Order: sequence, then structure tokens, then C-alpha cells
Amino acid sequence: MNRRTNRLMWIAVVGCVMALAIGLSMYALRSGISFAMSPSELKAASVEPGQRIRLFGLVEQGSVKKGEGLNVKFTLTDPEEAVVVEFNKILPDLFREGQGIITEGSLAADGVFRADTVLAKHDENYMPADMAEKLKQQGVWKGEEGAGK
Amino acid sequence: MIVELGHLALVLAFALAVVQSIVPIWGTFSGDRRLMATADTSSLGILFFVTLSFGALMWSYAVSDFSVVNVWQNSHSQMPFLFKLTGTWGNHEGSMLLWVFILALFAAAVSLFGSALPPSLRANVQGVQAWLLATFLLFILLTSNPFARQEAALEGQDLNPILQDIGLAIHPPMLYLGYVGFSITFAFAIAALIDGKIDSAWARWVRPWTFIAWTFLTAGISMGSYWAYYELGWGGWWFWDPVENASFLPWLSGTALLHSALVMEKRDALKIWTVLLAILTFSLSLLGTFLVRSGVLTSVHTFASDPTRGLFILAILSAFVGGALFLFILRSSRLEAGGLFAPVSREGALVFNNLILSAAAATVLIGTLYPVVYEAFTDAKISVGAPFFNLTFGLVMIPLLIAVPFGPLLAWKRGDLLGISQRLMFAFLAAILVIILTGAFTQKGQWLAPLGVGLAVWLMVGSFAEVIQRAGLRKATLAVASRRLAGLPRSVWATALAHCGIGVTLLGIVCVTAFETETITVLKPAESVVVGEFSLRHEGYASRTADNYSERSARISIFKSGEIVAVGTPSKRFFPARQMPTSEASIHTFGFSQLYLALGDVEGDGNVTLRIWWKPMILLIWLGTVIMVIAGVISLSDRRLRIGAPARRKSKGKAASHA
Amino acid sequence: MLFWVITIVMLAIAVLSILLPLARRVEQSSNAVQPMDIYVDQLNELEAKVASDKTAAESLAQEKAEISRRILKQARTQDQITSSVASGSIPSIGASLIALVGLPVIVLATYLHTGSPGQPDQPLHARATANLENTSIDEMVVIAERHLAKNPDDAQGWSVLAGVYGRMNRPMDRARALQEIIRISGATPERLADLGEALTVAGDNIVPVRARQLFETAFKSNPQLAKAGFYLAIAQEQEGKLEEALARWTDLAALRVSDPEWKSMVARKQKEIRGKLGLPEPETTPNTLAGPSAEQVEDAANLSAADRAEMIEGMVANLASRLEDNPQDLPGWTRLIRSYAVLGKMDKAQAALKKAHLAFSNQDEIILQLQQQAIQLGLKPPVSKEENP
Repeated sequence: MNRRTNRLMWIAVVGCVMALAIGLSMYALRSGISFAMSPSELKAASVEPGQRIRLFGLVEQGSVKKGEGLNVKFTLTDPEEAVVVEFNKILPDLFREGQGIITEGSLAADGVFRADTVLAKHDENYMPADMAEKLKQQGVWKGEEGAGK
Repeated sequence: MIVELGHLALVLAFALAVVQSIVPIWGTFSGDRRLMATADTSSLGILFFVTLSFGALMWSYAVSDFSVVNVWQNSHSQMPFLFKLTGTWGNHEGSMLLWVFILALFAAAVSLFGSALPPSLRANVQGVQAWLLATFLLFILLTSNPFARQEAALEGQDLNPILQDIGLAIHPPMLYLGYVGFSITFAFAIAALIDGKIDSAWARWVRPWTFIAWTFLTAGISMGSYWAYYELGWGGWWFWDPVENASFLPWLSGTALLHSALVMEKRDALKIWTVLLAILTFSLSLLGTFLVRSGVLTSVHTFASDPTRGLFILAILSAFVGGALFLFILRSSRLEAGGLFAPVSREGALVFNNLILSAAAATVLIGTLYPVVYEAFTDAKISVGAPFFNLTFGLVMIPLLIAVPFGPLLAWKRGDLLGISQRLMFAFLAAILVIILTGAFTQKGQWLAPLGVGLAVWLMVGSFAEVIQRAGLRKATLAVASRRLAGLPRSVWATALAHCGIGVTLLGIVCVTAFETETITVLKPAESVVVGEFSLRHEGYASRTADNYSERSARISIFKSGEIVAVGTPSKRFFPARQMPTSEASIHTFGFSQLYLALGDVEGDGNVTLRIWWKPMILLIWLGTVIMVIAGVISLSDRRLRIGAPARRKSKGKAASHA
Repeated sequence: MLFWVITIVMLAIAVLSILLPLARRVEQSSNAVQPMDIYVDQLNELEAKVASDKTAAESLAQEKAEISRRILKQARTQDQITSSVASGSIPSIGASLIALVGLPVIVLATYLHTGSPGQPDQPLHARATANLENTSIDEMVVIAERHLAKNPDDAQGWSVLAGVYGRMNRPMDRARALQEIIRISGATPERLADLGEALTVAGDNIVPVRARQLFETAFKSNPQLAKAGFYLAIAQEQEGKLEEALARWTDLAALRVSDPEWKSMVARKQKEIRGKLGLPEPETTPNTLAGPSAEQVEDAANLSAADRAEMIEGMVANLASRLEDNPQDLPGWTRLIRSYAVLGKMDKAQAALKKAHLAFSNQDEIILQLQQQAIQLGLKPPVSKEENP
């Protein structure tokens, strides 16, 4: 094997592996991603039932209803639109009414959002920046002090 | 006064770094050894001043000096003393100071332990390190000054309760030692490009530094993973969070660098690639810093983000990465190409290793950056979750994991695949046996788990094939074999252990992923729940108040075959200063497996919601990384890798004092 | 002064760390490793390996040849690199200048820009033990809170703090402090009533259910407790149970017979409720507004000064907000305007007058009544609707 074919062989191997890795990534990105939306974006978009979505918004005051066992339902608002979210696990420590949270799951056919993950973060950093901005403009955002009372 | 002196020391460090950015490199260009030598003392001076500065900040945390804005924002007078101290780096400003402290530490290490390096290389390395120091010190002074003052406030705003944990004391310093440690390999690469001399000796000099950084980074990532596991109360040990990815990316390319530098040292080949890897590894560290600090990606780790800081770090990132790559393009054409590469040979295997690690790093990078790019183009927000990473990263890594035991057995230039396969037969048989055994015990349809366990065993056993072969364990008598074992170069042991560690970690990952159980239940007082072979009884419920939080905890007795084996107290804490609750999970170890209890809601009638995980073999995940760290330490102690080792023969006493 | 001395010392250290190596003679023979040493080392290593593993000798031979080639090549180039250390006076003078002038300039310019020279350290313990004369109420409260966080069973401390909170108009904190006292020293009717009062003030002077239960418990165990009775009556009135409220006021009148102010207050309350009950329009009865009467505002003297102010403020605000929802209530408006005027809030009285005027703008008779009231209270009479298109 001379120097030239040797090099060509290695370039071909490198090309193949990289192409495979990137192709695999692109394939996985089709199903592996979830769109992050606010309730009004969710209402506006035509979402197929079962598609994974990250829904973020504020937990509406007085909307949390505990059901059988761990079942809990609450309304997430942004606040123009509201979506009822159902969740069957333990709510995070920082979950509170009036608090900004992120849920992950999919929209069921009955219009209820079935979440399998609920993330709450005290930090406003955890909320997508323009969402926080939007909420602040509308005066709905309960800063640190407000939420603390 | 101490606070202000700390501030002044920081400014002095900055000024010295500016001088060190210019003078030593000027020295290498004008050939003046005295100018080059200034780097040795000035980098010690920088370390001295940064240490003073860091000490001053720590002191103001220790005494709760709320006239320092940073202390006021991140501390509280009632916090335990240890957390007051660790709070120093539990925030953006303080952690940047820690970043710079470690940068200075490595720069000083080059002065102290780099006496074997050629003077011009050393001066250039120190010069490049000073560019980094000067830039980041300027960043701190302009945008994130931890010594900003105010009218003394009465009470601090408290440290984020999640950070009030012993993990904070160890995890960030470790991680930074790794992260920032790769700055040295970056400096070596740039220095070599400036000098234009890149040969196998360079690879030899850069490897120990890569090992140091890699070892700390491995330890840091592992610690961070364990910390997240027990502190967050979510039971998970890796979330593919952008920040975790940011530390994992340099690890992947750093691991590739370790292997490619070996090819460069032995075969004088892969030069361009190795230098590029050295640049890329630190660039990925910088990228991680940018992603975390700019708030471009939201993450559990983000401190308060500030757009000016983001822009500043972006400017640093582009200047260093862009400049380095530009220099690289200018010089790379002058590098000679290496020799022939047979596909089946040690160097062929190492190239394969590099190829797969780069591909894996590429998938992780794509997944991490995709949301940013996607949002920039379509304005829609997406997140890339764990399924993406598990699929792509997992699939890409499998061929490499299968190939690992072959690598060390292959000879340079031309390997004998058939002969090696025979030597690995015992490992192969062990793996098959384990696959069959595991398959018999798992439910139908779970064919992935036995294969995963088999792969892990293949790695763990196969990694020692070289040791066994070189000791001649099969033919020689026990006495001869053990003599040979002791006489083996430490690097052989290090290779075997590091590869075995990966197998151990993989075994833990497979077991937890496949056999973990999760139970969520509501327990009345005195009610029991059965989890696997354990029975858990709710014994009661208690509250107590500590200095800066109040705590409610449930008492859970854990029974195994009728005997009480442990009492768990999962609890929730509430920190009034930040109006923030946290969960304290209660974790019980049985062998390598753990029972993980997290407390949910507590209802008025004393019913508690419990989340119980059975995590089989989970400790192996971290045990594997501990083995890898030990391997890193062993390989650093290898004579051949020690800095300036060949000089030892010339002046034994002198060199020993350096070690 | 000391600060600047240390500054100069530190600057000197920094400058010397550059100047010293410049002044030193560099010995030519350093123990630096040349690439050649490394190749030789590699070769030795390989030979050791060959010695230990005879079988591999053949494959290692090639490796050995390659290293030997490298050594030869290195030997050729090494001769060319004769280290050329010039006397180099220009670079080292330049470097000295940078160290002597550039460095101090950078340091002072940067520090004077970003630092606060002269600001002393203020560690917590130093401030905590500083003389208390200069400490403000706020600071004392923080010190007390800190003390109580460490000694949560200090009932005396809590009761001092509860009083301070009351005066600082922090009813929720006052309620918390009172709860601590009850936890430590047990519940007495007085303490329960105080807690109920704090909760009521915190709830904008509407008696919350929990406070009501506290008042009931307190009043049951001590029927002589005027405070509990007072709030119970207010609660009943707020709930629209006017007959019950009236009956309670009648009972309460007997509690402090010797206190003329109490008597007159109770009497006015009774009169007010009777008035409400006697209103002809039945649909207004459930919506009847329980605001304070003007007389009540003038001398709610049976309460402590702080309580009185809080109570009046709250009730007036309460009345105002209800009138927003239900503006067709003339007696309500009259009372509100009067209350504002008595409290000296003339601008608010004027604003309320205007609102009432708008609410009844088509009823000339009422407008006339409002105008008369305005003149009595010294307010500007509202403009008639013709002038206000």
C-alpha cells in the first residue's frame, strides 16, 4: 500500500464515520426534540396528540386540585390562554400557585396536557428569558418577594 | 482594609499578567534568555496575588462582611461556617475568581516543574497562559468584580440552598482543575505553533499536563454527577443538561488527545490532528464557560445571567479560538506528514479511538447547540432531551467499547489480529457466559440489558489481557509471573485500570437503566410498602429548626426479610431567607446498590407521599470513575511520563527535588 | 495609611518579580531536555522491552529503526540551533521600563477606577457589637430576629418583637411572633385575641375565618374580653348578620360601663346597624356596607392608638373598594366622604365626592344633597353636569 492510497483509505473511513454520526444525530433530532411553548402558542399551533412538548407558564392561583392518590391537576396560564395539566407524580419542592414552571409531556385528545415531568425553579433564569419578559410586561410575574408571601 | 487589599491584589495580578503576556514572548523572538526567565518569577507573583485576593474574598465570607455586594448577595449570617466558606465560589463572581486562581496555579506549575522544557517553549507557554490570565482577570474586573462595595447591609440574602452542601466544597474546584487544566495543553499547542517546532518530543512534554487535567476533570464530572444524584432528590445521576455536556465535551476530546499524543510521541505522526485537538479541547472548555455564564442555554446550573458578561465571554471565546485556529492554518502546512498507517496496528486502533470519540463529541455538541441554532433561525424554542443523547451517543460509542481491549495488545506498525483474538478469548467467553446468565434472569424482550452487561464484562476482563500477556501468567510459574507483574511499566497498569474503569461504569449504567424500580406511594402512619425484597414502614413524622432552615422529616424503617436493616429520614427543608424549600433524600447502600427515598407532600393527617427507587449496582458508575482517576494518578507516577524524566539520569538530586 | 504602605510593598513585589530575572545572569547550561534525550530514552525503553519479551523482538525491530532515523535527523538539525543569546540590552531595558512604569500605571489606574480605597471592612460581629445608640429600629429588629433564630424559646423576646412589629405595621410578622409566644407559653384568651387581631389587620381589616375562630375561643373562655367581642361583632356585621351583630353590641355595652367612650361607641354602632336594618330598599340589605361611621372614626378610643389607626384606615379602604363595585349607595358615599374629610385626606374626599357625583349624575335631588355635604365639610362642591360634558 503506498502513501497515497493509505491516506485515501483513512479519509474514506473518517468521512464514513462522521457521516454516520451526523446522520444519526439528524435522525434522532426528528424524534428526540420537544418544542417549548406557552399555552397560547400551544392553542395556536396544531399539535398532534402524543407529540412531546415542553409547556411553560404560571400556575394559576387556586387551580391546583389534588385527586386520587398522587393525581394532581392544575391550570397553566401565560395568562392569555390556559391549559389544564394533569400530573401523576410528586410535584417538585418549588411548585406553588403563581409560580412559573415548565412541564414536559403531551397533549391528550381531550385537550388536557398529560405531563410526565414538572420542573419548577425559583430562579427566574430558569424561565425562558422572553417568557419572563412577557409576563413582567403583563404584570403577572410575581418576583421573588411576591412569591414569598 | 482586607477587602480592599484583596481587590488591589487582583488588580496587581492583572497588571503582572499583562506584562507576562509581552515580555517572555519578546524574549523568545529576540533570543534574550533573561526576558524569557521573567515568566518564571512573574507567574509565581500572579499566583501569589490571586491567592491573596481569593483569600481576602473568603475572609469576607467567613466574617459575613455585607459591605461586599457579592457576600451580601450570596451569604447569610446564620449559615454554618463551612458553607460560608464554600459560598465563596457558589456564585458567578466567586467562581470566576476560582477559575482564574486555577489558571494561575497551572501557570505557576509550569514555572516550578517545567525546568526540563526547552527555554523558548517554556517562555511561550507561559506567555500564552498569561494572555488567558490577563483576559479573564480583565473580565472579572470589568464585569464581575467580587469586591464591589456598598453600604453594609444588615443581613445577607443567603446562598442558594441547593448549594449549601458539602458537594459544593469539592465539586467545582475539582471540575475547574480539569476544565482549566486543559489551558496548559492549549498553551503548549500555541507555543509550538509560534515556535514552529512540533515533534514527538513536544507530544511527550504535553502528555503529563493532559493527564493531570484529564484526571481532575474525570473526578470533577463524577463528583458532580454524584452530587446531583443525592442532593437534587430526583434520583437521576446524569441529565444531559447543557452544563453537564459542557464539561463532558472537553472530557471526550481530552481523552482523544491523550491517545493521539501517544501516537505522536511514538510514531511522530498525527501531528496536525494532535495540535488541533489540544486547541479544540480548551476551546470546548471556553465554550462551556460561555454557555453557562451567558444564559444562552437555560440550565439548572446557571447563575444570574447578564448580557454584557455573555458578550464579553463570547469575545474572549472568538478571539482565542479564532486566533488559535488562524495560527494553526498558517503553520499547519509546514508540518511534515507522518508515516504509513496500517488499519490493524496500535496507531490504527488509536486513530479509530480518536475518530469515534470525535464523532461522539460531535453528536453531544450538536444536541447541546441545536436549540440555540434552531431558535436563531425559526424563533421557535425546542429542547433536546435525554432520548436524543442516549440514542446517538450510545450507538456511536458501542464500536469503540468493543474495540478497547484490542488496542493495547496491538503492536505498532503492524498488528496480528488473529493472535490477539486468541489472547482475548477468555474475556470473550466470560462475556458470553454473563450474557446467558443475565438473559436467564431478565424478562423476555429485554435483550438489550444482557448485551450491555456482557459488553461491560468484556471491557473489564479484556482490559487486563495485556497485563496477563506481559506477565506470561499462562506459562510461567507464579513466582516468575508475580516478579514480572511488579516489573511492568506503570503505564501498562494505568491503561488496564482506566479501560477497566470504563467497563465498571458501563456495568453500573446498564444495571441502573435496565433494572431500576420506582415506587410512588402514599403511606399512612404505621403503614408499610413492599419494594423488591424490602419492606418500608412509616414510623412517624418530625419537625425541627436549624440555624437557617426548618426541616420536616418522615421516619421510615426499612426491613429485609423481617429484620430491620436501616432507618431512613427523608426530609424537606425550608430556607426562609430565600423562601425556598429543598428535598433531602435518604439513601441506603446495600452492596453496590442503593435504596433512595425522597419525601413528597405531607398531608394533615400524617400521611406522607414517598418516592422510592431501587437503584441496583448504581455505585459502580462512580466506582468506575474512581478507578479511572486512580489510573490517571498511576500513569502520572510513571517514570516515562514524569516531566523531564530523561534529565533525571544527568542530575538525579536536582530533579528529585522538583518532584 | 497602613493601606497605602501595604499597597507600595505589594507593588514592589510585583515590579521586582520582573526586574530580578532581568538583572540576573542566566547560566547557559540549564537542565532543559532536548528532543534528543527523549529519543534516546525511547530507544532504551524499547531495548528493555525486547530484553523482557523475546517473542516480540521481530515486530519491535521496525520500531527501533524508526527511532534511530529520528535520532539521526535530530542530530543533523541540532548543530544548526546554536542558542544565540545576544547581549540584548534593548529588550531588557524595554522590559525593565514596562515593569517600572507600565505596571504601576496599570495597577493604579485600574484600582482607582474599580476599587473603593479607604472603605473599611465591616464584618458582622463588629457591627453587631457596635453601640446600640446609633442603631435604627430596623437594625434592632434584625438583631432581635437573629437572637430569636438562635433562641427560639425566648417568649419575652418574642413579645417585645410582636409589639415592635405592630407599631411598624407588619401584621403578618406580628402574627408569627404571637404564634411563637402561644407555642412557648400556651394560649391565653388575650393572646388568642391579639393573634386574631393581627390576622385581621393583615387581611385588610376583614376578619378572616381563622381569626374569627380565635376570637370565638377567646371570648368563650373570657366573656369579659372586650377586644374579642368587638371583633366578633365587626365580623358579624361584615358577614351581613346585622341582627346578630346588633345583639352582640347590646351585650358588649355592659362590659365597660364605666368607660364613657366605649359606651358612646357601642351606642353609635347600634344606631348605625338599626339604621341599616330600617332601610326601605330590601335589595340593599345584603350588600349593606359596613364602613365606619363618622363618629366612630372620630373617637374609636377604646382601642390602642396603633390599632385604631389601622382599623380606621382598613375600614375606610374597605368601604371605598366596595363602593367601586356598588356605586348606587348614597349613604355609603356620604360616609366615605365624611371619613376622608375627618382623617384630613381632603384630596381623597374630593375624589370620592366626584365619583359619587358621577354615580348619581341623573338624580338632581341627590346631587343637591352631595353639594350641601361638600360645603359643610369645606370641600369644593361638585360641578353640575351641564358644565361637565
